[in-house]
Amino acid sequence: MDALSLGDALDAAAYAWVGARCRHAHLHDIRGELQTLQSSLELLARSARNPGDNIALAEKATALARRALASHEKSLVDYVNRMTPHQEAAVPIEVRDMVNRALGILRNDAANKSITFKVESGADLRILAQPYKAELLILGLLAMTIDELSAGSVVKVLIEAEDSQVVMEIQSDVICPAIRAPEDLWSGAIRVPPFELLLGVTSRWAAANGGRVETSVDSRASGVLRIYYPRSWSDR
Amino acid sequence: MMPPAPLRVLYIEDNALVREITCDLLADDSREIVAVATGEEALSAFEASRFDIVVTDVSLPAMSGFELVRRVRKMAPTTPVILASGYPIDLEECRLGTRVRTITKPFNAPELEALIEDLCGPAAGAAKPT
Repeated sequence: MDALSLGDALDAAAYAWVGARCRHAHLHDIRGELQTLQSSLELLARSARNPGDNIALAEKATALARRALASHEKSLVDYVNRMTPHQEAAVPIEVRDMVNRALGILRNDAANKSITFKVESGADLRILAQPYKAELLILGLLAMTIDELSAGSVVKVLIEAEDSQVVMEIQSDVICPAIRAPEDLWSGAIRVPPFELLLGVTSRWAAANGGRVETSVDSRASGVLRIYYPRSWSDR
Repeated sequence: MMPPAPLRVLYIEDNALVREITCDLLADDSREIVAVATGEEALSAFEASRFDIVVTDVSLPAMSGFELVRRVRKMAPTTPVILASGYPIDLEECRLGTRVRTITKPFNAPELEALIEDLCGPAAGAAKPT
């Protein structure tokens, strides 16, 4: 097994935090698929008791069960890949799709606090990255934004091109903490706030790939988080 | 003698597969199911028509099941409600009032029917055709 660096350990801590934070959302989606399978079985059992009258019902239940199985398999593969994102290869990712997937996972968290996300994006802005790792970090930062905001807030997510970089900007009333280096985050005696951990890990991830992360406060005293990452023109 | 009017159930579930198949399982002569995908659609349906019970998924886009129940309760404070979710719900924490039950996915139809009967009375839980 490869030696574990401080950065790897911090990455793992960040993934673990995101996984725990989004546990309810993942459970809900996975059990929604199981619900379809459970109900399909009940329909099949009902049609089996009266086969003459219920052939159409049985065929429908079978079709629904097949769709639910396919969806469930995808969810489980996604879930396993999120546990081991360091093992995947970098591929071109459409950033808007990635953000929308993360917001889909967080839809109930946002709805519970009546938080509105407005996503504005240029067309077809891609980056070359490990997809689950990138999605986990974005998911974590968006989840943290929801947690820090008061009810009824609006969050703007702007995705745009700037020179050869894709910039993902999160605008909200959340004032980001300072970005800290890995060696500053790691201490057995200090409990690192999750927001600082996620920012530090995201910053290290962006820097390792030729990008950077910046935080600032705009003229309306709103917080701005900008992630710069080299643009990819490849679609394969 | 006129047969009793069917129980009118407003069912909210954003997962199209779950919505469709649950309707197939629940609908019979004793129950009329109106199924919608969002909280907004549910509120429109609730304003336009009478429902005996609301069965809603918790995780919905834009408006959560909790928020939907709060708004329904403003219009009709005693409407019984069943909340369905993929994880256990702490009802005390939600503060949604009385006549609320929860059910955890994956549930089976008899479990849901028993809750409906518990909230609406035995007439609603008529035997299903086999």
